[in-house]
Amino acid sequence: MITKTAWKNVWRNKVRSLVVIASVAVGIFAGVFAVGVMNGAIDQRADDIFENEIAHIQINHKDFRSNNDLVCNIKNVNSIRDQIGAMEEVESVCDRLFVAGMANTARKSVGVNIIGIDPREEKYVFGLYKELEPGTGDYFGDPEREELAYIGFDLAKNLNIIRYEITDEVADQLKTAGLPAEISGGIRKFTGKRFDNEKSFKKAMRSVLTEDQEKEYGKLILETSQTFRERARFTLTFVDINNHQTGGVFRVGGIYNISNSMYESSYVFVRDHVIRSLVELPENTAHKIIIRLKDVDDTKAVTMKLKSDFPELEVLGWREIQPDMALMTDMAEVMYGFFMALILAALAFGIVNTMLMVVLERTKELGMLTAIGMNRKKVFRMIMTESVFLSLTGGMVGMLISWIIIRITSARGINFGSMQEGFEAMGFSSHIYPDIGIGFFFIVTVLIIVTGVLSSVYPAFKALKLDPAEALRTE
Amino acid sequence: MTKKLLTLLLLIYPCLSLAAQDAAEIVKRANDKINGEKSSYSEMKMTIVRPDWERTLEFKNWTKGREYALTLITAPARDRGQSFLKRGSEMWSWNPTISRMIKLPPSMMSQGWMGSDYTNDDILNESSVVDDYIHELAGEEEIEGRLCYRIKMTAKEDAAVVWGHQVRWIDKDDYLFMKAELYDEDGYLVRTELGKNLKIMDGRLIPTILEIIPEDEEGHKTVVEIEKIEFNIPVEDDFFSQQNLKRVR
Repeated sequence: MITKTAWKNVWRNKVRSLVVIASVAVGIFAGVFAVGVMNGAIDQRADDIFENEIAHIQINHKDFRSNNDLVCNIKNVNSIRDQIGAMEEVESVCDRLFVAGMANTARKSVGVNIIGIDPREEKYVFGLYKELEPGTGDYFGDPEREELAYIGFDLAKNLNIIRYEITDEVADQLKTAGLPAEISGGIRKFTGKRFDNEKSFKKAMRSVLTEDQEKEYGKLILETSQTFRERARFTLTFVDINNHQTGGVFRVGGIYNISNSMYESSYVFVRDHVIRSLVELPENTAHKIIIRLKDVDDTKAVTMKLKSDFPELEVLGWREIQPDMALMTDMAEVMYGFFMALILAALAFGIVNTMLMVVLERTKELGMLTAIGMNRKKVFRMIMTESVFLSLTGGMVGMLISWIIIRITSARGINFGSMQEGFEAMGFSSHIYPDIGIGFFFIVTVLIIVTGVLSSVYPAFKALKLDPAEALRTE
Repeated sequence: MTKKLLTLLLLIYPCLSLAAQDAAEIVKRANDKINGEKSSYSEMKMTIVRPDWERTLEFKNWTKGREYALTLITAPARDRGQSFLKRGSEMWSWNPTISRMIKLPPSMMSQGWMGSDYTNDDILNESSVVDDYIHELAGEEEIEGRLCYRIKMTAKEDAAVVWGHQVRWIDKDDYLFMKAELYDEDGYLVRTELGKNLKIMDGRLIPTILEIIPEDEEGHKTVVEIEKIEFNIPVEDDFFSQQNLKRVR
């Protein structure tokens, strides 16, 4: 009975109620959608970490992480690997060699981590081979060429392996991509000149483009005019196990492009037996054994088991390797809840205001109700229910809209192209697919109800304080 | 039939390779000329030219064979006393202002030495102009008023060199490197090296000025001038030690 009356009361002043409901709806939509975007970004980062960067569990020599020395390697790798591979929870295992060194081309030198891999085994653990930039190679596909290397896109740029050139073909491509004729006329004057780095190319572009034109088409021009020499040659230099300077010549067998520019610019992959013989490491050794599990949630249990199986080695779960990511995923739920609570707290003031008006407006009516025998508890409950209806209706509408919009955007993603550099420097993709679990909507619903209840307390007390006799006499 | 073919091949082969052999021989002789001395002591001046500034370093240099070298900077005052030691393929540096000996890591090998266009890698000379390239005689040209062989050197497929090819001009009479152009894999010029001002020093004719001009950086240049050089001085192996690196004056 009370519920019914409360619902009817809400719609007595339609405009006022609708304003409150709309504000709650907008607030909830903004909050939920923002959380969806954040959550999508974090999920993608976690996927990247598992898929491309660290997998789930890594094993290394006890001193490897502090010394990073070639001699801190795992002996007898093959048998250890087989033993781990036989475990039920393990999907796949691979091992890697790590050598710190320099990559050099005729123009540039960059410090890199050289990683020796067995390309076949790698594929079962890491998905990095799928991130191959089209047209740059085939990821160790050529069995004849032993000295191939798989390098990151940013490293290729830093080493001037990727260059910029305006050719007739590029001009045609730009034309079909919708570049206005006056701009293409301007940049055509650079035809035939090769720019070795992004900086000099951008400088040249700036000389013919206005600021607005550059903002709009700069990225398109830059991406279209990238050129790359197949099987480009570069040298890697490093010290071998006896601390002698050594090195070798390698050819680019592919360029990978992921959303982590730090990783891209520092990790170079080569065949393990090539680097092994160059640094003179014996067979059957590796610096890291990397494990991919069937289920991420087994990480802790498997880590514990491996720790007791191999006490002389260091076994690390992904949480220990990437503590920042672990913290982020652990705190995410709490953070989202806190974020929503903040928005709702602001909305609560609006509801309090409306409910106060409701009470003051209906002084006579409330007095009458008490006079004819409705007890104070029921009055209190009626006002509280009204307030909850207000917030919950708004909340439902807001959640429905945000759910629909998240569905739509999660299919195609949102591209923050202009902020790509900043995002990728932190390891996040600039193309975000918003996503949020259904559980979050329950949490939000509870929060909305709590907000409704809390913001009715003060107005309801105000209603209780009314003296029925006096209230009846007011006009 | 097979035998005939083989004989024919054997006969032709020396003729084919004669030209190549020649070019390789020329480079080898020129290379022996600069690296062939038992030991040397020299005083040099290096000027680093940049678009908006220029600075000059002076240093003393001891070498023994290709294995050992020791360099002491004598001017300007700010860098005085800093010294470098090369033993084989390794390099150390001593900095007296912070009293620290540093073994140069690979990361520093390819950076410019003392901010010049000379890289530490050039000094260590890991790659060899003789072994790592295929040589080809490509005519004769006059450089600095002297007739030179023009030799095109293409990097061998598996050689650990960053260059695609080089063109070197070698003096016909005295086998001196007069000019070098270093190209990347796509045939773009990256760096030019020039030998100038031929003089007789300690009984030998040598270019006393060496200029390095990087191509894609406008206004950059490094000039090394040899002020004094003595060949085959008596110097022991243990002169090139870490202890001496700190002591040397």
